[in-house]
Amino acid sequence: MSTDRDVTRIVRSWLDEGVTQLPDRVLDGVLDQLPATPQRRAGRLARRFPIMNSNIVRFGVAAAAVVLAVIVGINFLPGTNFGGQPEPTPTPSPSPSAATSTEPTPMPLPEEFMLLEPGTHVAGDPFLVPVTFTVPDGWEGRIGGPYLVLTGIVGKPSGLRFAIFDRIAVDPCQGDTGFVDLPPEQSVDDLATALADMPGIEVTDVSDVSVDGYSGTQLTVTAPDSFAGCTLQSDGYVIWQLPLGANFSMTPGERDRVWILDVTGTRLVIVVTEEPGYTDAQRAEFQAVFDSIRIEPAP
Amino acid sequence: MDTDLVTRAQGGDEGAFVSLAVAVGDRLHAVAHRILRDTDLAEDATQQALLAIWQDLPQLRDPARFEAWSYRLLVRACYAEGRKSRRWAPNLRMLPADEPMATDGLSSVVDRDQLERGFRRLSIDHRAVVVLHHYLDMPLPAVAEALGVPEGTVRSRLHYAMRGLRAALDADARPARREGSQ
Repeated sequence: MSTDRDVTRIVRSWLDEGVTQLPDRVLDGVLDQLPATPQRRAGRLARRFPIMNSNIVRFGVAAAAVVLAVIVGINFLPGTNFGGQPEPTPTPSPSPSAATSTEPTPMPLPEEFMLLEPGTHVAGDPFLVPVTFTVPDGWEGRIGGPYLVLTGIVGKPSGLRFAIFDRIAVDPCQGDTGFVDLPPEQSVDDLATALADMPGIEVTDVSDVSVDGYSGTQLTVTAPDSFAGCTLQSDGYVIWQLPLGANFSMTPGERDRVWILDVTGTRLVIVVTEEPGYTDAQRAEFQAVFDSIRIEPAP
Repeated sequence: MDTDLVTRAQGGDEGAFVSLAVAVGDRLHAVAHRILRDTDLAEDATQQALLAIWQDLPQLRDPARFEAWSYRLLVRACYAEGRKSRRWAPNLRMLPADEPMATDGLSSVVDRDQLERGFRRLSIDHRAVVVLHHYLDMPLPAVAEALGVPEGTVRSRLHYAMRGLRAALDADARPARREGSQ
């Protein structure tokens, strides 16, 4: 039996072994990429914040989360697969058990991708929408900043995204055409219409949803099976861009379910990327996580 | 760390960044190698971390905190590399034979085998805490700052990780190199 001191000594000695020098070729590779790697200026954040009134955001975020929770519940009721048609009748209270039961204090979602402990996690500050959800074993996730939350099954951590943005690509196939900004005050329909009009993607299954008094639109976005002939941005087939510059891009043939929610003027977008390889058990996990989503403060 | 170099690099001075990268590159690579237990993954993680440092430097508010901040980006890159390849998860392999084999504290190759096995069972976040604390000698509050998590979380991870490594060392000795694949 080893003592704690023995273990510490052995581990430290073991860690002292191994490489300590960075090969020159690695450093050279970094330096070669510098000219094509622009720095991200903090000023971009500062420019974007004044657009959003903080009170509106706070109020809107809370309401958006409520809408999100209910919509998610609607669309992931048993028997509804990710790519299937939405339920024709909005269900105001899928009442996921996790949303109403008393639970331990949620664990904060980390800022780096981490394997999440099974249990309830909250995506709070800095993310503008305080979403809480419960994950089983084998899920990872992180808060990507004020405008993005990612979670999913290990190895597929972007399976479920929460995003807030107002900039979409003009043409994802022609990356040099850049982006167009949608005024934040425009409705969810404007964003849905802009996506439907975007060349290079197919938008189907568009339907209105009204949940808990908040309206939204849900749709399915499908990327072409091949990007041959396209001039892609460095991030690939980019569909939209978050305020801090992160791009959302799709892979050939990717199919995403998208919910666009209007919460007192703020658009909250939820994306579920459908993985063809998902097993029934994994789909059930997604449904369970969706069922557990809740927002504080409650409406 | 020379905060003037950091400030100049923040302003887009590539020459200053080169000096920074040279100054921190070895240490970042050593940490990545110890977290990922794979030379190729560690090199990729270090490269990605250095590029991320260049990209995000303008957003670093306090140049004096560059070092801790750089470790955060490195660990983030290790997560990314770990997800790209599962080699580090189930595929146990011995340390390369050409690496120095210190004798102090390690009684046999069996200890190394069991340590390697136990360490690979840990998640990246647990490994990061062990490496930053026991390899870099960073105090736990500094580890917490570097990783951007509460100190209590760091203590919990360290406790869990060391308990796992201790269990690995206490496991019944098995024939060395039985699962080696180098």
